[in-house]
Amino acid sequence: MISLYENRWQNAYGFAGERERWLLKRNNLPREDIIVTPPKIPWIAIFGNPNCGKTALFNRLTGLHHKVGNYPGVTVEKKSGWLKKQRIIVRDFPGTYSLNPKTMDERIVSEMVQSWRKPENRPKAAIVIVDATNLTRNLYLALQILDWQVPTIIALNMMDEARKQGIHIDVDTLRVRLNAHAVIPTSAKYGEGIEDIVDAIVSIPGDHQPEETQPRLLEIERFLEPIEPLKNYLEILYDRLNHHPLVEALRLLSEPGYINYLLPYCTVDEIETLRGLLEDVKNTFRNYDIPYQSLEQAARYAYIDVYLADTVHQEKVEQKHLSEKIDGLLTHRVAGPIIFIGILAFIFNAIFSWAQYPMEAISYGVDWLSVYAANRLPDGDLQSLIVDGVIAGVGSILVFFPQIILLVFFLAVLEDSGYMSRMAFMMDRFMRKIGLHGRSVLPLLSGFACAIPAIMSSRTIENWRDRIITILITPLMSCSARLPVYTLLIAAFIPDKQILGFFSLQGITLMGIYFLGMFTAIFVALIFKNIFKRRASNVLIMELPPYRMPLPQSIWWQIYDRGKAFLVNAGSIILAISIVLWFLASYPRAENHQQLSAKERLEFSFAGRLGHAIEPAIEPLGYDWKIGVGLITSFAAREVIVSTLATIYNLENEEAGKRSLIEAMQADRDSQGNPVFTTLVAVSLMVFFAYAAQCMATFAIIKRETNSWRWPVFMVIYMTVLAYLASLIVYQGGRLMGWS
Amino acid sequence: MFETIFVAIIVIVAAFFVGKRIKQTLTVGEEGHKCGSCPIYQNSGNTKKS
Repeated sequence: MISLYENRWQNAYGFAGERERWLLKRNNLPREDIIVTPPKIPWIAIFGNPNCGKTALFNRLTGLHHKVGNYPGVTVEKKSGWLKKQRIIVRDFPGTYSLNPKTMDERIVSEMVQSWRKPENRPKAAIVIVDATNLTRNLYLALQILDWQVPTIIALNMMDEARKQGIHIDVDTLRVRLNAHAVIPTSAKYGEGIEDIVDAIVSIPGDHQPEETQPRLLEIERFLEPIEPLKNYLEILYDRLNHHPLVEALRLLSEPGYINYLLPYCTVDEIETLRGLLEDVKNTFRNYDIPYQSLEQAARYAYIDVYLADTVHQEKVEQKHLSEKIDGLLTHRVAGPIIFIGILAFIFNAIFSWAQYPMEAISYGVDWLSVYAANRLPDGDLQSLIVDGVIAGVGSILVFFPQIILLVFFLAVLEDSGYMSRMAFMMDRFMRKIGLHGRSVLPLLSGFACAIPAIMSSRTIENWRDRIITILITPLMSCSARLPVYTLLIAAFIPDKQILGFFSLQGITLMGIYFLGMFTAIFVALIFKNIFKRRASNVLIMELPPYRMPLPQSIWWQIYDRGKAFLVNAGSIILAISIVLWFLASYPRAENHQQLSAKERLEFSFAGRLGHAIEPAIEPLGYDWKIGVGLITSFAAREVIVSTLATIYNLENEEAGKRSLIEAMQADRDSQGNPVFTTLVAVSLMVFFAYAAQCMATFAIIKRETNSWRWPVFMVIYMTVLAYLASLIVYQGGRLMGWS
Repeated sequence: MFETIFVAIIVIVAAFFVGKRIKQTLTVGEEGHKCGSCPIYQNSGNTKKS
């Protein structure tokens, strides 16, 4: 059998050929995970448990602004950057509790470490970040890394919190007992210890030779006898395997398939001998009823208990930590969900009310620019292109910038404070009842911002079926690209009334449409679960991070990144689409062009013909041809429907710049004089957008994550059918009930 | 006439850009995630240098 790993080393420094593609597809790995660091440039690897502050420290070391969050699983792929003022690459890896991978993100770490068997693949140093408030558990991974005999720096992160909890760590003793290159107290939050880490890295000589050290294991002697033949044989192979034989033997016992890692370094006969010896050892342990799979864990934790635990002293032990007290309320079976809904209601209410004035200011600016351009430019195609295409198209999107910023702000606060993990915890109870894995919750909640990182974060899910189901339902969570569509329709057709004196009907409607997506995702998952027939239900074991005051700079960078992406998007793809759409809505021109009204000209254009062609299919949903054109263009990006409608209404309206998009939509009448947009049509359209798969980037990322076209195609089909049927039921059902 | 040619050039460039962007987005699986290939998600900084 040829393993993925054997093939990998045949293609050491770059992308591989067809054979590797096939192996990647078979193993369900994304392609970029096979990129190996180019030789000659020294590099540093950052490892650590989930949510120990790896990315925060990575950002400090590199000056980058990668997303950090107060919940496990923010990083699911490796990230690289330059160490400040040094020609050294720093690589941040996903969080893992050990080098025995269970999930796809953990496999990235494990496979990188396995590549260290070749000396040229080794990093200049490894930085293992440990949570100083939970040292003993975090040291397990550190011991595994240290045994690879790469210069290792242990960063005792979150020292500020450890001090607050009265935890004292004897740093010098810890360094000596671990035999680490350095042990440095740090606080990535406040920048403490960063310079010390840089100094420690720089102090490692370029020609550093690994030291021969004993593996950091204890109380393994009593099990040595059965392992001895395997260990002795691995000693013969040591010059090629470059990993301690005893650790290697324990790993072979604990991890099914670990032998695949050794394939590239051994002959077929050697592998067969290893397999035979391994089976003999397993049989011996089975005869004595010894759980050989957990021997390494036992030996590592024994080492931590005996040699390292006494380096940590805690002055005072609080009866109940503040976070636990808050959790008592926020994750309460009854109060928890009520508070959760209250928080969401507040957020959606604030998105409407707080953003009102800046939105009006931007709208005023866009209108002014439109009138200014119309007055300054002579009548003709150029004026129409600038006013009706560019300013109307891009301007209509820019108006929603304050709402996007507010949504990102609230999501960042929920994530960084640690509340997002509690939301996942509360939803897990419900998810387990319907047979889904709780690990699906965090990717689903991240889908409120954007489906792309949310789908990528499903890599933390161990079970393949759970992962596929999560990937398929994540696009049903309303992402921020849908926000302009929702708020445009709500502002135009939902009355601005107050409920209970402080909740606006518009805010509640927005919350309702978000909940619609969420509950539909759960319902669809339930159907998929029965189709895919999952065998066992895993219990979610999730570490609830402590509540932390969100860092202003972290919030700022999240707002900056997403705000910038929104503006860049408006200034590039939406601008380009607006120009193309202007052309499609302006040409061809009839021979009697001058005699036709603006509405007739529009209907004669390519866009008009296209809209009318699909009108019979969308008429049962309550949509006219203009909305149809918007539905087509929104496949590029959902919010493009807003700029499309703005351009079309601007071209239709002969007094350009005199009427806002909302006013134009409210005033639009069909050939019988009935309003084109009603509250029922608006709700039908919002439901369509809540369910439809109009995002090419999501399509592409699902293809990448599943290594197959089958799943993205399936996603588009089921979501389009769902969107159509749901909108049909809403519109026709509403009409039957006499609503308009 | 000059105005028509100028507008035509703008429209052609915009159409080319839209096509390029669609292709870029759909080939994300081949080349890894690209900054700006989706509306919201992006990584900033000097990542590209490495």
